[in-house]
Amino acid sequence: MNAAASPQQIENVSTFPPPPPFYKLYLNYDSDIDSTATTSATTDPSTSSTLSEQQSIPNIILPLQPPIPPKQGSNYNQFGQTYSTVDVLPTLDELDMVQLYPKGDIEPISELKKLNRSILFNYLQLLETLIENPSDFKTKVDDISLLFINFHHLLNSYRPHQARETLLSIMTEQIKNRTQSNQLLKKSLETCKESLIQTFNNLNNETEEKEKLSPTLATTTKEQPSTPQTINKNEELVKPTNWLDQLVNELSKIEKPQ
Amino acid sequence: MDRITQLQDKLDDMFYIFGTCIGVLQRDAPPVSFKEQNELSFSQEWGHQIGDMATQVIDTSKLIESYIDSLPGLKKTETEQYENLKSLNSESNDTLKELKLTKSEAIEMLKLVKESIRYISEESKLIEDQS
Repeated sequence: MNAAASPQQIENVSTFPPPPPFYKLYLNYDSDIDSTATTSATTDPSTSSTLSEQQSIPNIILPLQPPIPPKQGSNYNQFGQTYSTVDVLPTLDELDMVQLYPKGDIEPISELKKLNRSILFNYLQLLETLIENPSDFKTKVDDISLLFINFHHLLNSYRPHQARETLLSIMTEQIKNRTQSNQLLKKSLETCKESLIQTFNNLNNETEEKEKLSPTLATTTKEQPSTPQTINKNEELVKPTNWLDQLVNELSKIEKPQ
Repeated sequence: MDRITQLQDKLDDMFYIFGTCIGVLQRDAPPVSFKEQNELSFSQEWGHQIGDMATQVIDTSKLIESYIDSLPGLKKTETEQYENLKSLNSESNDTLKELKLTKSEAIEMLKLVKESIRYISEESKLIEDQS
């Protein structure tokens, strides 16, 4: 190892390197060391119960409070790099690049097509240069590189536009799903109403037939008190067919909710 | 994957194809005579390889152009997009209200069906007892 190596280099080649400096971010390091020391001093390792160990663990590994989110317009560090909260795409001028497409309002599709064809044309020119004068390749390679950078930049500048468009398509899809669910639910409700009415009609017919066959049975059915709650409200329930009328009334109420 | 990312990936592909083609030409191209420069004669295999490389470049370029044509909403302005979003939002709220209304109807119907079942069972039990 070189004697003049910096501490950072020494750290990198160490067999047992120290933990990275950011490990202190995840614990109340100073207070935790104190609590660990207190715990080890007060408890005898041979007689310490499992319960007391479990109780002391949460105090030791208590994490720090997360940092407050950065304010709008400020910068923050993440994995050693500085980021801004305002997400702005730098212009090509700011990146010291030549902008090949016009500034201001442009027709993106035609500009992108122009760039695509220019790339192809410049590639052919590069091949020609490599045949005729191979030493001059650098200029053409730089041109192609600039064309690619412009292409990517123009595409990136339309990412917010695409995000809005994606949101539009998601919302359209959601509305479509809701309408479909609504229609399906209404259809099921209609089927349910029809089945219910049909069932009660059948029951009503049966009761009438029985009435005709044995009048005593009909009289007894009149006496029974256990009718649905909604039907109990009606005083005309003594008639055996009244519950069906009541049900139909209830159904008509459901059809036009207020 | 969104269309812009697909387009950028295809663009990177083309860049890669450019480099590969030049590398292959440099490595495999046969020497050319100084005297008969206008009459280039290649072996059939090498001729095919050149053709394949040219086709690959052209195909990628065409694909990029078709992707450009299919970029979503580039004909709309930002204002138009926001107006569309507003109208869709109100439409979405309306459909949600309608759905909630139908749901409440369905709940009422469920109650009615339960009561009816109870009534029918009690009725049939009574009839059975009497018969």
